[in-house]
Amino acid sequence: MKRLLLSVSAWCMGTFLCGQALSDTVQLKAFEVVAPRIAATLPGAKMMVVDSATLIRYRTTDLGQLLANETPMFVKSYGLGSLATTSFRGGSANHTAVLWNGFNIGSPMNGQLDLSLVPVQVANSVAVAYGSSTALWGSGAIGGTILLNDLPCSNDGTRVDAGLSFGSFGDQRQQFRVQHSGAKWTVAIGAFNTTAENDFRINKEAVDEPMQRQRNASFAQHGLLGDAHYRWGRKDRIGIHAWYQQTDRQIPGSTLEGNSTAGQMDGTLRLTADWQHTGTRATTNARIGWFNDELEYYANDVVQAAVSRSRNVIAELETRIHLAKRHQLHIGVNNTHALALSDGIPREQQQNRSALFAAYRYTSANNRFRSSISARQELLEGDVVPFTCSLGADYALRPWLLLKAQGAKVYRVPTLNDLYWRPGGNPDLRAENGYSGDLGAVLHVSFKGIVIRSEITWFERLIDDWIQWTPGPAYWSPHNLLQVWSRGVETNTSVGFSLGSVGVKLGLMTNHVVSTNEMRTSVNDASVDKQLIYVPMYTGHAKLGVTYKALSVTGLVRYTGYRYTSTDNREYLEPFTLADLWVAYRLPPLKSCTLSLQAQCNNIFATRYEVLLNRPMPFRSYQVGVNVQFHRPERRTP
Amino acid sequence: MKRISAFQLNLHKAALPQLTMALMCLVALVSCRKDKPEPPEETAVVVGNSGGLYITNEGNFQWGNATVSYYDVATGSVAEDLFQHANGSSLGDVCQSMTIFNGKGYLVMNNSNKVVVVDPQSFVSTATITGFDSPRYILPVSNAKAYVTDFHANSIAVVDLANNTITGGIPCPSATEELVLAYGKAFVTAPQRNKVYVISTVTDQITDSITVSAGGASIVQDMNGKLWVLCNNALYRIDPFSHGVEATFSFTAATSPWRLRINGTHDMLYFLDTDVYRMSITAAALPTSSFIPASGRNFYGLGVDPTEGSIYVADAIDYVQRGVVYRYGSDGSERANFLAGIVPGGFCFN
Repeated sequence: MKRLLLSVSAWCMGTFLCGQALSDTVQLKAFEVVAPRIAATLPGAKMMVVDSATLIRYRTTDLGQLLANETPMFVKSYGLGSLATTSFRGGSANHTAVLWNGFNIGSPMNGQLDLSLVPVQVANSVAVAYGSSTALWGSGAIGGTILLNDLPCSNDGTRVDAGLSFGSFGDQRQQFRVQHSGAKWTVAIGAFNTTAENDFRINKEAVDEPMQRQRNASFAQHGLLGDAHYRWGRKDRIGIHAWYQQTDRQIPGSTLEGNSTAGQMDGTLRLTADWQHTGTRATTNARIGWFNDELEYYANDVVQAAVSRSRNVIAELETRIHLAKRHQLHIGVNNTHALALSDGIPREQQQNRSALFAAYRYTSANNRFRSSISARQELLEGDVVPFTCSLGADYALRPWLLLKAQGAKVYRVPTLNDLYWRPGGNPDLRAENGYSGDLGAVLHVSFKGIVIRSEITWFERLIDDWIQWTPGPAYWSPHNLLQVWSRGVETNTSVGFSLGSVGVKLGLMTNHVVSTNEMRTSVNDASVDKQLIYVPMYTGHAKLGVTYKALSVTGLVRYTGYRYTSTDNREYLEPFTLADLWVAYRLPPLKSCTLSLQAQCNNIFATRYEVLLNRPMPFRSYQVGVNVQFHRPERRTP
Repeated sequence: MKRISAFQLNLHKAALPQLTMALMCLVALVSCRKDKPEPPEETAVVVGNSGGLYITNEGNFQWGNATVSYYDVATGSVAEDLFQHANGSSLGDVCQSMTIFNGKGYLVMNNSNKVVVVDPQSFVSTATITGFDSPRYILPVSNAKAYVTDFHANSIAVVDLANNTITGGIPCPSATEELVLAYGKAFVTAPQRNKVYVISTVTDQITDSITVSAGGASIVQDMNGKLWVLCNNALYRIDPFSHGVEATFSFTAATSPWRLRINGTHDMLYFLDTDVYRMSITAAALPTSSFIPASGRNFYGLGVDPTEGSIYVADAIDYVQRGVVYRYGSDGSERANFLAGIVPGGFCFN
């Protein structure tokens, strides 16, 4: 019976993406630029591209919300606007790499990125690569990789996009972008501003219970985005991107802490430049990025703030060579120089990493078989870190059935905090290293106007020397302690069809992730063969989207299973199911202007839930917004 | 799209069952695990009976998972999370210590910035004393008044035990930790300043301070009235009248001794330094060998039953799972062990 259920669930699985199957209006013009690396098309790799309609829906929110709602990632959120990090395929936050235009923007200090500080607006393409791709992206891309790309377009004329929204708990967002794109030049400038009180109710309205609100949780963020691209000849393009933002937020305590008065200010400046040369046989990219982060944490008004500063400079050169008709070689070098200074790292510390990577791709004559092999050797401060490589292949067994396989050797180098934090930093840490593998099948059929795409994947991963901070006699210190075995089955299914002028999209996504420690660290350790804390074993999403003319309605239900809060799995948080509803209406265009209205209700059934222990999340909340788009196409001179 | 239409036939005839089977096999390869935890066993423990003790489980800082367990020595059974069962709500964030005084239990909730007053038998909360910064230990100095030390505030709170309110503070130059009452004076450790402050319980003022060395957080009084203070690198014996250091026992190796405790007859000292050590109050030197070796365990809490003499040692393991508490006889032989809550740190004897 259990097996039957499983097979049924395997059939009902889903993804929401699937641009091929479902005709989303892709608003982005055909790009003549290529996204960094070729991960998107790497044989055997599993990718989930967030479709453009979904991306527009989340335009004013942060990446944490987008990923939690629309992808299989479990997002560990401390609450609205508060710290949000990922757990993907049973890894920790350090095991998901976040790349913006090909640059890893994780903090060199703790190896993580707070997703609540990444506005979705910084990218016009968001994709999630499942599984390990350290051979391509280097240290840390173990559980998965989030690919944010802000790809320029050309000959698109002038576009202005302005949005305004209001929501529950004093949430106000404004966003603006203007872009001009001609044959040679593309220039865009954007700005955003978000403020919220986040003073949501933390207990249900009850007669005998005084109403309590979340305190000390306000959030204010503003930023500027800019990019410019210039093309010359038919082969060359240079571009620059700038992303500046300032976030000032209060940090609420848990429900059982005393009154928190803590706060944090984050200042970020990210600047990148790239050059692309497209030859007849080879495409070459050179890019350099400069990333500056400053964080100021204060416990209260009295105590002096703790300041952390870090800077990452990443330079990269890669070229893609068409060796022969079906053979492609991709080689590149990367140098990442990180620098950090903080209260915990009183003496400025630096880390230099250089890497050489190569990938080779082969496509069979009938295009049914594709394979790739990639390898990477990194030098950490001149020392060799574990060699990493990966093999991937896919094979179209039938026109409607694609089989995928992928295997990789993976690693993660210790972060600056792991190495140098005072007290406790351990300069003798080794890199985490291990193996990962995926097997998958994609079913893609359409009959009688119904398009079905279904993907099932089984993954396995074993990581040794897993770094864990543990308390010592006087202070906490990181050690290469655990061995973590992660495995699971993911399913993604989408079904799309039309009934007259009504378009229907159905998506279902299930994830079963078992991620267990395999190493006993002391005699009484009961964590062996137990699930890692805050890794839900079961999660699922179901989504229904209906469009009728200019009206679209989307309903989303997601389930998060038990999360353990103790390593022996004796303590846990209850599962929860949330439902959201989103309605949008696009008014008939007036000249070159389009006005759209949207309304959203989150947690419709006012479910009480906590993602993290004693960190309540909001009950029902609302948001309404208006968006104006102006587009004047480029005048073409005959 | 011709390929697809050709496929339709296949799909309807043979491919569908085959594919289902293939997927089933694939799914079956990874066994589905049950994620629902087993409900804890209900135990019929009479809390607060004569032969038993409370274990304060600190929980994790900012997680709010502090609990108090009760161990019945006679039956060997444990009642978990007394507060939740009695009050239907969580106890709070980091339970630092528990003290029973005049038939009331005082639970010092460090990161909830409060002291919760409970009935020791029912564990029903009768009052909450609020307004602390980072409270650590409570010491009743009279039937009406108690002192509460604080890790952040440079002040010791003075609490009115009748009204359960803070009535004042004793300004201190630094954070304060454990404290004892001797001859009408409170002796308070101040580990950051290498001091023991002497407070008059009449005037609520610091009248003197005794210089020890760094890290002195625990203090006990022996059968002769002498005070013992355990610092990072030395154990001190202090005269409670002259406030002078009478004896200094220096640790030679790079160790981190802490959690100084004394038995019920007040003649044997116990402390943790990875292992459990014990030392007679009349000994001429520090013990050279351990009393109970840790043997790979993470000894975090230590208590000595004042009436029965058993030594209780808590293994906090990785600090993120339920700890194990060991009960040893006064000869050092293991008598029992049982599971406590997360980070068992303190023992309170009934």
